Amino acid sequence: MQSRVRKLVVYVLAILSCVIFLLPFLIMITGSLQDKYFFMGAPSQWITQPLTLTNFKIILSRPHILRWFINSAVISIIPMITTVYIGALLGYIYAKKDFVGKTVTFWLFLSMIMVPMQSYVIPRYVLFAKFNWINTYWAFLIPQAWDIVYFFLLKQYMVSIPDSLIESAKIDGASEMAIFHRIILPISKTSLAIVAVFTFISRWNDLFYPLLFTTNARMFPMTVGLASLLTQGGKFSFEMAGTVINFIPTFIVFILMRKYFVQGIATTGMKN
Amino acid sequence: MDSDPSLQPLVSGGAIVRNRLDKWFPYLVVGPIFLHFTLFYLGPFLTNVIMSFMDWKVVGDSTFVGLANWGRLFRDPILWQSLKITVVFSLYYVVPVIALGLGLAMIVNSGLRGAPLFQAIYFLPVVTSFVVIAGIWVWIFSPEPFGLVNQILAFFGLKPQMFLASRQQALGVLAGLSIFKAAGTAMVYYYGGLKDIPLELYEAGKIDGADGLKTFRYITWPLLKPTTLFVLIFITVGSFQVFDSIYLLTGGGPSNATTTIVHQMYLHGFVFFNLGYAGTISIVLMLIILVLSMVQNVLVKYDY
Amino acid sequence: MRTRNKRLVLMGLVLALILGATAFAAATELTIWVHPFLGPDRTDEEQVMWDNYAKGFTAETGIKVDIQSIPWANREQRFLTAFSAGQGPDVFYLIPDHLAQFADQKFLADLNGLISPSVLDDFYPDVIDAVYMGGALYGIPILQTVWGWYYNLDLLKQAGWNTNELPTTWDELLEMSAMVKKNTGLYGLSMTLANYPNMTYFPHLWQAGGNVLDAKDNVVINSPEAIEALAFMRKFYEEGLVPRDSLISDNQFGLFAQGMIGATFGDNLTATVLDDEADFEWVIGPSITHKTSATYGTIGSFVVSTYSKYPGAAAQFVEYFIRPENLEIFLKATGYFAPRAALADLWANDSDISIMSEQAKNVVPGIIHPKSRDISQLVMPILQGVVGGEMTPEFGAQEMERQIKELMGQ
Repeated sequence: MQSRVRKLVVYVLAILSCVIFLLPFLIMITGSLQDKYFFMGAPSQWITQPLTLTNFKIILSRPHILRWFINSAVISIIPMITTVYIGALLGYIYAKKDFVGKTVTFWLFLSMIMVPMQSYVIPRYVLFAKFNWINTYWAFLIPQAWDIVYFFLLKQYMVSIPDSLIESAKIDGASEMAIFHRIILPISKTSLAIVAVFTFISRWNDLFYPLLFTTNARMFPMTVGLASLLTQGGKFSFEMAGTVINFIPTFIVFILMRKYFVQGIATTGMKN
Repeated sequence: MDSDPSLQPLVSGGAIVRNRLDKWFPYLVVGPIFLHFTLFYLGPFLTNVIMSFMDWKVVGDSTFVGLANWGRLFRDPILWQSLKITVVFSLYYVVPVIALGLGLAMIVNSGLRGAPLFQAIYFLPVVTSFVVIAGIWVWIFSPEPFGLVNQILAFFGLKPQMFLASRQQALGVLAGLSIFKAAGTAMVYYYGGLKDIPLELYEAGKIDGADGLKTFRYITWPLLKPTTLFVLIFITVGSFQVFDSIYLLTGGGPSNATTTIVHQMYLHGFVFFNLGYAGTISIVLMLIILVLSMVQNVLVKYDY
Repeated sequence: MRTRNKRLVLMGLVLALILGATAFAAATELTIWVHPFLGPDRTDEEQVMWDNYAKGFTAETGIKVDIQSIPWANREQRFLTAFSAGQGPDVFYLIPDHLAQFADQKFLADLNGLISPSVLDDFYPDVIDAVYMGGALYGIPILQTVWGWYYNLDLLKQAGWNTNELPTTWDELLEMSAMVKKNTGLYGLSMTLANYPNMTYFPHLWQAGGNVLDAKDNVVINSPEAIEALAFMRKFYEEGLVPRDSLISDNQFGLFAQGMIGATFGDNLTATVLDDEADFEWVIGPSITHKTSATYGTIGSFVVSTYSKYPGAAAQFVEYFIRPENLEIFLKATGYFAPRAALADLWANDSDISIMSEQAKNVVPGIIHPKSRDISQLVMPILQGVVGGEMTPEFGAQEMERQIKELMGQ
C-alpha cells in the first residue's frame, strides 16, 4: 500500500517536472511555426497566427545551408572522437601510472580549466593567423582535440578500475596500447559515451568561438550562419526555426548514445 | 601459462621490445599533449599575464606599466562587487543544481514506465541553445502581471514580483535559469553513478528494515560520493564562469546588481579594449578556482 | 555501427576535412564586411543588391570585391581579434561610438588623402562632424536614422487623449502617460534602461539643454539640466507609467506591438516591424521640445582599415557606393535616411516616416569621443539607480560626473 502511494508521488513529480522542462521546447516549436517578430509570454499568446513553415523554408533555401551543416558536423564529430580518445588515454595514464612531472602537469592542466574562453581568443587568433588557420577547420580541430575537463572526468572514473585486471594482462605480456584498447576502453563505455555526447553538444552549439574564427560565409557552422541572417532587431519566429533545425542533430546524438548510459559508469563490463 | 584465455590474443612476439617502450609510454603520450597544451592553453594564458603588466595596444606600441593594472584592480569597487556577486550566484546555483540533477536521476532510475522518455525530456534544455532558453526564461519571469510565474503567484494571492528588475531577486532568477539549463547534465552523471550501486545492497537494506530515507542516507548517498565530487567541481567551475545569462538578460543590472567577474572581464577586454586590465582579471579568476580546487581536493582526501 | 558503415563515415569526414582545409584562397582584391540590413525573408533580395554593387564597381574600375555579410552579434569582438592579428576586411561598417573608439585605437585609415574632398560637399554638417576626429576623416556616412516617438492612436483614444494633438512637451508626455495609466491601466511610455543612454537618457538631457561633454571634452554631466532630466525620467517610473521591466529591459517593442504602451521611442525601421505586427493605428509624432528639440539618431559609415593592403581602392569603392544614384538603392531597400542633401527627398512620399526626416535636423548622434562606450557603460547603472529610486537625481548626476572624470583622467 505504502509503495503504491510512493509510486504515485514519484509519478506526479515526474510528470510535473516534465511539464516544466517541456515548456521552453513547446514555446520554441510553436514560435518556429509562425511568423512573428516578438514573443509574448502568456500561453494564450503562444499561437496568435496561422501556422506556417515559412521560416523553415527560408532557412533551408539559403545558398550555403548545406555547407553550414557540413561545417558544423566536421567541427563537432571530429573533436568528439579525439576528445574521447585522447581524454581516455590521458585519463588512464594519470589514473594508473606514475611518472616524472605527473603532479606538476596535472595541476597545470587543472588550473587552466578556470580560464574562460574570452581570455584565449585573442592570443589564439594571432597564432592562427600566423599559421593561416583562420577560416579553416584547423582552427577548430587542433586546439579542440581534447578537453581538460573531460580528461579529468575520465581520470576520476578510471581510478576505480581494478588494478588486478591490468596486472594480469601485463603478466600475459600485453603492451600498454593493447591494455588500453582491449581492457580500459571497453570497461569505460559509459563515461566515454557521456564525454562524447557532451563534447558534441558543446561544439555543435558553440557560437562565440566560430564567430570569431570564421569570416567567410562558406566556412560558417550552423550557429554562425543562422546568426548572419538576423537584422539587429532579430525576428523571434525565425530564430526559433533556426534553433529547431540546429537542435535536431544534438538530440539525435543524445538518443543514439543513450544506450550506453544504461550501465553504470565505473562498473561497466564488470558484471561478469 | 595458465592465464585467462580471454586475454590470449594480447600476447604476441616482440613482447620484450614492447615492454621497454612501455616504460616510456606515459612520456610518449603526455609529452606531445603537454606541448599542445602549452601552445593552445598555457601560452595564451601567459600572454594574458604579460598583458596584465602592460598598457596593451592592439595597434602600435604597448608600454610597460608594472603593477598599475593590479593597483587599479584592488581599488575597483565594481570588480570586487562582481566577485561578491559571482560567489553569491554560486551559492544559489551549485547545491540546487546538484540536488535537482540527483532528484531527476532518481526519478528516471525508479523503474517507472516511460522513464527513458522522462530522461529525454529532462535533457532537452541541455541540448537547446542557451539564447532560446534565456529568452523564454525572461518571459516566464516577466515582472508584468501576465508573466507565467506572476500568474501562478496571483493564483495563490501573491503580488506580482519584479524578478530580473529587482536588485534582490535578479540573481536568484538568473541562478534558476542556469539550474534549469544544467540540471540535465547533472542528471546524466548521477544516473550513471546510480547504476553503479549493486541491487543487492538495496535488498540487503530492505531486509534490515531500511525505509526510503534510510536507504538514501546510508546506501545511495555515500556510494554516490565520487560522482558528487566530479559534478561539484564541474558545476563550481561553470558557476564562476557565468557570463551568457548576464550578457543576454540584464547587462549586469539593475545598477550592477548582477555583474559577474567574467562579465567584467568581457567589458574591459572587448568593449573598452583595455586588454591589459582584462588580462589581470583573468589571472585573478584562475587563481580563485585553483585555490578552490585545491581545497576541494583536500576535503576529498579527508573524506576517504 | 558496423565496420563498413564506420569506414564510410570516416571517409566522408576526411573528404569534408580536405575540402575545408584548402581554405578559400580565392584571390579577391577587396574584402568588404556588411551586415544583414534586410530581414531573413528578404535575404535573397539583399544578396542581389550587394552583388550588383560589386559587379558595377568591378565593371567600372576592374577591381574585384568580395562583399561578405557578417552577423551583427559580437561584431566589435570580431574586429578586435582580426586586427590583433593584422587581418580583417578592407572596408567595414561602424556607428559613431565605435568609430571614435576604433579611430583612437588606430584601426582606421585617414581618408583625407584618399578621397576627393568635394565628394562630401552636400553631406549634412552634423553628419560630417561625427566622422571627423582631430582633423582626420575616418569614415564616410552612408545612412542616418532618426529616433522619435511612435504613438498607439487606438490606445490614446481609449484613454481619452485628443489624438489630433500629440504631445510636444515634457509635460504633455507626462499627462498623456498618466491618462493612459489611469483610464486603461496600461503604460504610457517605453523606457529601456539596459539599452545605451543614447536611446533613453541623453535625448532628455539634450532637450533640457545639458550634455555629457562640452565642446572641449570637459565633463559637464553634473548640471541643473541633468538633474532636471533625471528627475523627469524618475517620475515616470515612480508613478508606474512605464513597464515594470524598464530597469533591465533593452527592448520593449514587443509590448508596444501588443498594444500595452501608449508611446515607444523608435527609429525609422520600427515602422517596418509595426506594419507587420501591430493591429492598431499608429503614427510617428512630432518632436518633443523642452529647451531644445534634440533627439538621437545614429549615423552609419563605411570605414577603411589601417591594415588594408589597398586603401586607395577601398576608398574608391566607398566613393562609388555613396554616389546619389547608387546610395539611393541601398537606402530605399533598407529604409534608412540619406546623409546627403542630394537625396533629401528620398522619403518625401512616404507619409509614415516623412515626418521623421523633418526631425533629422535635430539629431545628435551621441557622444563623439573615443571613450563614449565606456561613458555609456558607466552611466547605465547609475541611471538605473536613479530611476529605480535608489539614489536621488542630484547624487546620480554627481556620481556620473565623478566616474566619468576618473575615466577621462580629469
